[in-house]
Parts: sequence; structure tokens; C-alpha cells
Amino acid sequence: MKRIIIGLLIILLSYTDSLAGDRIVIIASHSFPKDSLKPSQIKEIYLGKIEIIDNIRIQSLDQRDSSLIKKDFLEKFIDFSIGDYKLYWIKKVFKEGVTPPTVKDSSEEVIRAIKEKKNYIGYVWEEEIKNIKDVKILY
Amino acid sequence: MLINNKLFLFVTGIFLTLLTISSAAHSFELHGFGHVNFLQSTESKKDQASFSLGELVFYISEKVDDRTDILIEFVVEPQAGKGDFEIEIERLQLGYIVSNAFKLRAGRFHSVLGFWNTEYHHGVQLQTSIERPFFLKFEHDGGIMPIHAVGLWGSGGYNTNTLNLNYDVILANGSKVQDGIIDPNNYTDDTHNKAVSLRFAAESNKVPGFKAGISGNYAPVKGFKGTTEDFRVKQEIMALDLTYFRNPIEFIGEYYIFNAENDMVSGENYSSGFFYTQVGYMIKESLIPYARFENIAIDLNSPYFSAINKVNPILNDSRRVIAGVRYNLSHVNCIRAEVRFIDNDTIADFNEYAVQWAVSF
Repeated sequence: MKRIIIGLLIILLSYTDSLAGDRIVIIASHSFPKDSLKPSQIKEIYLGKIEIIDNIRIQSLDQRDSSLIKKDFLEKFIDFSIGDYKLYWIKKVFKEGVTPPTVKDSSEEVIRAIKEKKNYIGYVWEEEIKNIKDVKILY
Repeated sequence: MLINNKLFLFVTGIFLTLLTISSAAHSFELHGFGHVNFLQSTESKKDQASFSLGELVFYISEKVDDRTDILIEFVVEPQAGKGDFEIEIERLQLGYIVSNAFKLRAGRFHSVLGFWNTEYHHGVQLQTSIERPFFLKFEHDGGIMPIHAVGLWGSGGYNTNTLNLNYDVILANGSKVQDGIIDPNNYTDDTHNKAVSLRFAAESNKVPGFKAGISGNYAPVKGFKGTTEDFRVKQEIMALDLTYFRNPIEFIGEYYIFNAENDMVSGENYSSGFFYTQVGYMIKESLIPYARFENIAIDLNSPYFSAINKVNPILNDSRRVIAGVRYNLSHVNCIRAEVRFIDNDTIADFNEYAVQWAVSF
């Protein structure tokens, strides 16, 4: 029984590691006004400091707080912990009356929403868009 | 903008109906703040220890369309000594984003004076300490500053390589003092000249966490006793704020100057100043010991302050030292305990001991 549990743990950890080792990509539909974004622009979009690009109001998409990809995304692009990010948006929404990034349950939902709206941007694992042609990688 | 209790059920009913309709057709999120207090004071008239409910704050922020946002905030506020409560519509603002450098809003919003007033306002859980500095009280609590405004508000930001710059400009109804209480004139302006407020703030990318702001308000202000005009002043408020928030250190310092020229008695001018400074240090992401010093020195010859002081004594020429500790149960949930030493030149010095549990939701 002990061996089975250890084996399962090894499988689980190797799966998690493969995701963690994968690259996060920032994606949008082909109609999005830019073909690439700098990390500093991505940070400003997700902190609500850039709302308009080429006269189009951008809507950023987030993933669940419990997801590994959100934790990685915030560490690499925003330099915030999940708690700090949550608090930042509570303050910003309360102070300015703006709307925070829309939370999607999974990368699949992020990709589906991006295909439908030209002003959406989101983040997924690179692996997850390997065979998807309707979106472009901005970073 | 107070709603009397008879309207409470009506407003609540409408609100719940909106919630129901919205949840079916278009979802939006209702957020808020709530807190519960315990206070023991050695002030002679308030010496019994008491538990109390704090304000219950609700707000909704939504996109109306691609460029337009709406924010609605209202507060259910227990009335001290009445065993009752009032509902106040704190903010109702419509915002239209023109570009990243310019957003225009209309409605009722917070004035743009200073840091604390713009950063925390009714979001009690967001601030480190239990209470606001005492000269930043809300208008209906005996406050001395115009905290709200009704009119137009333009704001925006610009990033350079080294600085993150932000500005706010407000054109609003000038406030009045009605029977000793500041009223932002929600429905009509009793002066021909509007109030103008400005705020500029800069953050340095080279010193992350440091922010400096300068703000000002110019307004003609009338005072009334009932329907009789009591005074008329031209008032200038200037404020400077410096803040530093970078784990584990936090620092806030604000200085305000009120200058006023009497419009009814030629040659009479008044000047008052107040400041506070607060420091905190976070230990292990959850515990923050903090301390604050506040100082208030007001020219009570000013008819503006005199009128307020008659209804809600300002505790002029006073100093307040606060020492406390905040424990974060999570980012949206905290318990704080603090002791306050109030030293002033008009009544006997006294102490307060307070505990508060506050949440954001």
C-alpha cells in the first residue's frame, strides 16, 4: 500500500513538474491590435494601468487562485503573490471603480473566450495551444 | 446623501431585486467591508467598555459598455446612542475612459485630498490601524474636511522610464456647513463658484514603494444656521503626503494647511494646520506592530471651524499617540488591538483601548 501511495505521488509530482517546467505564453485572437507585448506592458495590463491599446479597451483574463499557472504567472510577470494581487485589485476596484481581470476556470476556457473576443488577452501553458490556430502568441 | 430609515426596506428591496435580476441576466459581484469593535475609554462620559458594530459597506463596480464603468457604494451605519442605523449613498459615479491618460467621471465621489482619504476611505480593513487620523473623520461624524464631492472628475496616468505619474482634477459643487456639519451639496450648489480640487502623485521606479502626492482644494464655503446664512469664506486646502510601502516597512506622513478669507468681514484671514505620521513593520507576513502620532492646531476664530466645533467639539490643540498591533488572518481578514493616548489643551487627557475584527468580502 505504501509503495502504491509513493508511486502515485511520484506520478503526480512528475506531472506537476512538467507543467511547472512548461513556458507560460500570453495569447490573444488574431484580431488583437498588437502582435507582441513586452513583459512591462503585460504587467501594466494586468494591473489595470493600460486599459486601451490602439483605441480598443483590453480585457485581461485570469485563472483561478488555486491554479499553478496563476501562481507562476504572477511570480514571473507581475512580481506579486496571489494574496498581494488580490489585495491590489480590491483596493483598485474600491478606489477607482474599475473592473478587475475576468477569472476563467481553466486554460480551455481562456482559449475559448479569446477566440470569441478580439480585445481579450490571457495566459496559458505553451503546451496547451500547440495545435490551436485561432490564437496568436503575444509573448 | 442620507436615506432615512423609512426608506430602508424600499432601498433594500430594490437592491435585492436588482441582485436577483442581475444574477439571472448579467452577473455582477457585490463586495464590501464590515467590522466589529470593542472600546474602553477613560474619558469621563464614555468610561463603560462597549462592543459596537462598525459601518457595513457595500459596493459594486461594473462595466456598462466597452468604455463606461459604474461604481455604486452605500454604507449602513449604526447611529451612536440611538440604537438605530442610517443608509448613506457614499458614491455613485459613472466613468468613461477616453485613453490611458484620461478618464472622465461624473457623480458623487471621494474628494482627491491627501493619501488616506483617497486610498482607504470606508475600506476599514484596508488600513493598518483601527481608526482614521481624527482630523480625517467623515463629514457626518464631525469631520472638518470635505471628504465627498458631487460633479466631474478627470484622472489619468503617465509612465516614464523612472516615474509613474498620476493626476486628478475635480470640478464640483462647493460644500456648505449646515448647522455645524459639512454638506457636499448633493442636490444644488449654494454658491456661484464651483469647488476645484487637484492632486498630483508620483512614484519612482528607482525607489519601489515610495510615493509622493500634493493636493489642493479651492472653494467658496457658506455656513447656515437653519435657513439663515451664518458665514461665507473663501477656503484653500493644501496637502502634502509621502508614503513608503515595501515589505516589511510601511510609512505614511500627511500634512494639511487650511487657509480661509472671511467674505463677510473684510481683512480677516485664518490659517490652521494638522498632520500625522504612521509607521508599521510587518513580521512574518501576518503581524504588523504600528504607531502613529497626530497633531491638530486649529484657528477657532475661523467661522468655518467655529461652526463645526459647536456641534462636534474638535478637540483643538490636541495630540494623539497610537500604538497597536494588527494580525492578518488572511489578506482580507484581520484583528487589531490598539491603545490611544489623547492629550489636549481643553479637556482632561484620556486614553482609549480598542480591539477590532475587520474583513473585506
